Amino acid sequence: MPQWWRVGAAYVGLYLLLDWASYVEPLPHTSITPWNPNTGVVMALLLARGVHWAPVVALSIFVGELLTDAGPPPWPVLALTSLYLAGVYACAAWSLRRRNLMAPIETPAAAAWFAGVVGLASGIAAAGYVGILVGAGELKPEDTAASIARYWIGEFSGIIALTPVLLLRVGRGFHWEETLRNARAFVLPALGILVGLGFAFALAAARDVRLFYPLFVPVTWIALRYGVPGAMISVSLVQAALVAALELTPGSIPLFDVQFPLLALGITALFLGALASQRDVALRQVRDQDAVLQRSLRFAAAGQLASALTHELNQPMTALLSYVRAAEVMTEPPASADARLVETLHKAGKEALRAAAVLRRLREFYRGEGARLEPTDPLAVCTRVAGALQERMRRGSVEFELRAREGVPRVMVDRTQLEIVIHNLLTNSLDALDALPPQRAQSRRIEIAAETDGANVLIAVDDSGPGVAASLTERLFEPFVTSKANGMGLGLSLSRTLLRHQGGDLYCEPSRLGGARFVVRLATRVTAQTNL
Amino acid sequence: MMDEHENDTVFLIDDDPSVRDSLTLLLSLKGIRTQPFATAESFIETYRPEWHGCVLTDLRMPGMTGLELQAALRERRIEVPVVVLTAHGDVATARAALKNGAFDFLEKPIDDAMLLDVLRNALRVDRERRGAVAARAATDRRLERLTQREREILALVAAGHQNREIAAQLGISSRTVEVHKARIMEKLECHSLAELLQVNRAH
Repeated sequence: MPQWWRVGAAYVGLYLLLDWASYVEPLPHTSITPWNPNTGVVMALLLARGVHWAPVVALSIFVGELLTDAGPPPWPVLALTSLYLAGVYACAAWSLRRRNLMAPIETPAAAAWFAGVVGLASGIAAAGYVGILVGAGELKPEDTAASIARYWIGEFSGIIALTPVLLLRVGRGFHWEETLRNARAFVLPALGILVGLGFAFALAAARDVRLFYPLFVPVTWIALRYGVPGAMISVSLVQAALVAALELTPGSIPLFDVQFPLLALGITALFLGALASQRDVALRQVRDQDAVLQRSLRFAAAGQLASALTHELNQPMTALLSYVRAAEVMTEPPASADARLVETLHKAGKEALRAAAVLRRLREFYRGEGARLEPTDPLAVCTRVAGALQERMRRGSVEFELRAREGVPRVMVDRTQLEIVIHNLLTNSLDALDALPPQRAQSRRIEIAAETDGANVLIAVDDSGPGVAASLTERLFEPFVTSKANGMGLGLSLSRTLLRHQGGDLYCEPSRLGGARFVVRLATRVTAQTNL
Repeated sequence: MMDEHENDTVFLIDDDPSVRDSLTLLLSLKGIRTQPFATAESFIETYRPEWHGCVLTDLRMPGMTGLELQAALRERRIEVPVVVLTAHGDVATARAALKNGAFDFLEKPIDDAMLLDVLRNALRVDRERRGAVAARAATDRRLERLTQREREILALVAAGHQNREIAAQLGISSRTVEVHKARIMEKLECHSLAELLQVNRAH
């Protein structure tokens, strides 16, 4: 099991290194130090790889204390504390794993569970650990409360800072390759971290605890901008730098004095980062949805293009083939003709048939599956599509409103095709608003209204754009008719075709908003006309 | 080759001038009279009851479409066979055309063999239909020549009664019945009793 060994070796190595490095300002005869990033490694291992790693954890704690402590307690006490700590953190990891929280933290809810469980576990760990040491006579009973508090905050703060960073390697939430590709994005957070490190050393040099608070500025900024990964990496680095600065600067303030702000910094960054991550994930989902819609839209448009092309080309092909056949008849006896002419005409006829077959295949390829009719909530579709276009509406400062009379029933349509139609109409409206002169910029408005009409549902998309030019109204729904410089003129033709195949329709009228009003008629039942 | 009846015409309706021109050329070379129309409306407007043949029409046209043409013909009780052409191979529309009573449909571009087959069939069907109509009209005309008494006798003959029974029922002599029957045969242009019965049944 080479993988097994690699994980174990990496864990033990990292644990011992951090344990050694963070062994600063210990309480005498204990390993109670103000900041324990090594416990962060423990939690990461137990969360990511499973609770059955607890024995390895116990062993590493035991070895770590033996190696790093200046005056370690006798080994039976050490063994007891090691087993106890490993047991407590294994329980914490088990309860988090039961809630599927071993993945990178991406939501405030996950951050709250993580912070809550870890806070409780480190408190229990601290109480038990100090209790064992007091019982063994290693600590004076009067120091109990202060020791527990210090150990608790040190453990808590170490886990909060380091575990989320280490967990990033586990899940798919953080895209290392993607991040590395835009290396320029690293410049700003790196600057932020440098500022943070500067404050850390300034704090040490000035011996002024108040200088701690400016540290929140770069860390919160990075958290909001880069989510949990950025937040927790910067927190770990700043915490490490602060510990190093205070340790290396002779006569600076004791590390225990900044222990609590350090924890506060870690928790703040975790929650802000989780909020930002959640926002990023939501944005990415919207963008992905839009991309899927665009793809099916393109495919449908290509199908419409193929269909229109086949129709346009079939006419000359029919004429061509008939002319060739007529010419062949003319060469038949009693008229006399060169044998080569007869053969050539025959070949020409064959080629014309071959071209026709190519056209037919092209059309069949794009026809794809027919519409899949299912009961669909038309308002939900409108909301979804409008959501996908939200960003564009915001950019164009368009007021958007979705109005519905009470109880619009479900309609029998193909959901994707209805999305394509609504998307088409909304982008048409947005394009129309873009074409408005700047002096009319204050009245950019799009409204979608749904109402019931007998066995049908009517969805009207109104805009305050320039409306449909009189020269276009007649032929608006024909393929290749467009008012846009870079449009294909397939959107409306495609939309109407899709709807008519489902027993619906699409028509255009002037809008009371001053622009165009497109009405989608959808059937609530499958009728005889459907798919005719 | 000139196996078509002289007055049978294919009324070709297509909005594309090249399609009209080429198909007219090909069909006339194959001995089929063809009359092209650019729109379905112009065909409906110029149509005269004495025209016979069949319609060969495109489905997708600006203005009146092929399907609308079918409806318009039905409305005017014009019973000419309609062969539809689909340029876009739209199975659904073709099915609708057949449901509307189209004689057949062909997908563009069409090869001549299939086109000629379908058109000759359509023309034959139209001829047979017109033949049946004409025969019935002739019979109607002949039956009108019978007197009231002759019609009574024809009905009794058709019901399978013997001369004697008819004579007894009508209170006339068998001889008179015989004379009437001869007059009926003459007026209906029949040469046997079987033929007479057939004419009566056709009515």
